[in-house]
Amino acid sequence: MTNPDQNLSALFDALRHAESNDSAPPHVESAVMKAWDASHAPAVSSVRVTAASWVASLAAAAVLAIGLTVVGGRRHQP
Amino acid sequence: MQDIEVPDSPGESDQALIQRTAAGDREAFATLYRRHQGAVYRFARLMTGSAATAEDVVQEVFLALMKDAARYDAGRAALTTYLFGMARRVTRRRLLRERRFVEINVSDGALDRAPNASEALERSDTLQRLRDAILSLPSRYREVVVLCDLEGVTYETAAASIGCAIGTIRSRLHRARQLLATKLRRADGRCTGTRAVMRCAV
Repeated sequence: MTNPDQNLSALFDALRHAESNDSAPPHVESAVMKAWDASHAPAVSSVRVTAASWVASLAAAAVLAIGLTVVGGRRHQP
Repeated sequence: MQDIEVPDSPGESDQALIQRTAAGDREAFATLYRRHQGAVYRFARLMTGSAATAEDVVQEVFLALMKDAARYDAGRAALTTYLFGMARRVTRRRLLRERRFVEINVSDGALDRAPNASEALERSDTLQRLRDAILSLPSRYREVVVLCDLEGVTYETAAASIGCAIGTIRSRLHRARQLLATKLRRADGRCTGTRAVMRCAV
């Protein structure tokens, strides 16, 4: 008569063997590595946006300063 | 009992790969993924009975590793402990959230087949009955069977992954094997070809 523990142990061995090569399909690796690439991409676009914003602010400030100077100069003219 | 196998065995330790991963080395992270994804996938699939859920679990576990790599302390736990612990948490969360109904085949297919059915089919049926019996175990028993009896992790690693004492692992494993033996005996005694949908115990 077979020992139930031995029988179970043999079944575990068989299942382990049957599934030893099972793994996640390739598309999972692609998704994981895509996430890696996205999280490690250099933040080029944000630097560009920041630089562009800075230049735009400077230009606006210059236009405003020149405008105020011109308007102020006219008001003081007799 | 051995810890899980390292199929690619490139020679570089997990700890070294984790350090390189934390420093932003893509190849190191890819090597870790390829080395450990199979074990995480098999664990999640046997725990949930669903290949699609297991794929999601693998993805979530490795995204967590990617974020935690810089904080990971190899002195506290082996990477396998971290990965199985994370896989266990993600799997339990998924099962609780989805209140998953796992389809369990309770048929004894031997009676549905011709008497001269091939040995391979019979073996496949036997293994399916074992999978079904494992899936029908309460999760605290299911996880120790999957970790220790199927993935071959040490009791120490299983205890650290689950967050309990080694003695608890031993007693749960003992009880789980008793339950499995009973379920398999019952399954062998069944003669219907019905399929049952049972709630996966979380």
